[in-house]
Amino acid sequence: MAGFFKRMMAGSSVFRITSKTTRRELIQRESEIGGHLFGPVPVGHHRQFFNLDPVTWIWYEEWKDGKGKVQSKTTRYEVHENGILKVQEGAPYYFIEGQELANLLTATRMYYERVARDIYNFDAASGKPLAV
Amino acid sequence: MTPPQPNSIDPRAELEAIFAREQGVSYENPGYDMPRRSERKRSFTPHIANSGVTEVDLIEQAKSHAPSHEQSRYEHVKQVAVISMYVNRLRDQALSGARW
Repeated sequence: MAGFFKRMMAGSSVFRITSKTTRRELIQRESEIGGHLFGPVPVGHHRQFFNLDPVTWIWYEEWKDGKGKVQSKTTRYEVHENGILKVQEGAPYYFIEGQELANLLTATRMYYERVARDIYNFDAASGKPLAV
Repeated sequence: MTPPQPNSIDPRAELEAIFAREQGVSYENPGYDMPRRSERKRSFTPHIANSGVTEVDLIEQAKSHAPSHEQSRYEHVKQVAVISMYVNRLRDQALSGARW
């Protein structure tokens, strides 16, 4: 039970920004929220979706295959002036379009709204701070 | 166009790179194998970083020259860029101790 509570606390909004908080910690926290934007994560999977910098979004998924070996897949979306370049290891790069681009835009909007509210105490819709 | 493949795109290494930069380690010489962006991305990012021109400005400029059937796609790209900028602004403000 204690372990369960500890895990819950780790994933809850107990996180507080202090003068010692680092960019790395903020991104780590954002990635936890981002990983749950697309519904429940399958048992045994670990998913992260986060904004790395002003021009990069990362999707990372890790799981164990039938033999218990850890598998992972990373997708990077790079913002270029002429499109969003999708980068996956071992696959050709391409600029996303159509529904795939619309889906990414939706995901980034949701991400911004959620991290603004849950981490930065900021209401993305109104552009104003949330009442503490 | 087929950009070159990266050496690696491990997000944990990306986070390590950020951490290293915060500790004052050079981005160009981080002391370990850094995941690389596509070559094209690497070539223009430093240029805009020092010019005050944002990705959104560049996209808007490209959009203005794009054919009509590409306008919607450029608008989506611009919106992703704007959201990326907003997220980073929140982060920067939080790290600088700024209050809204």
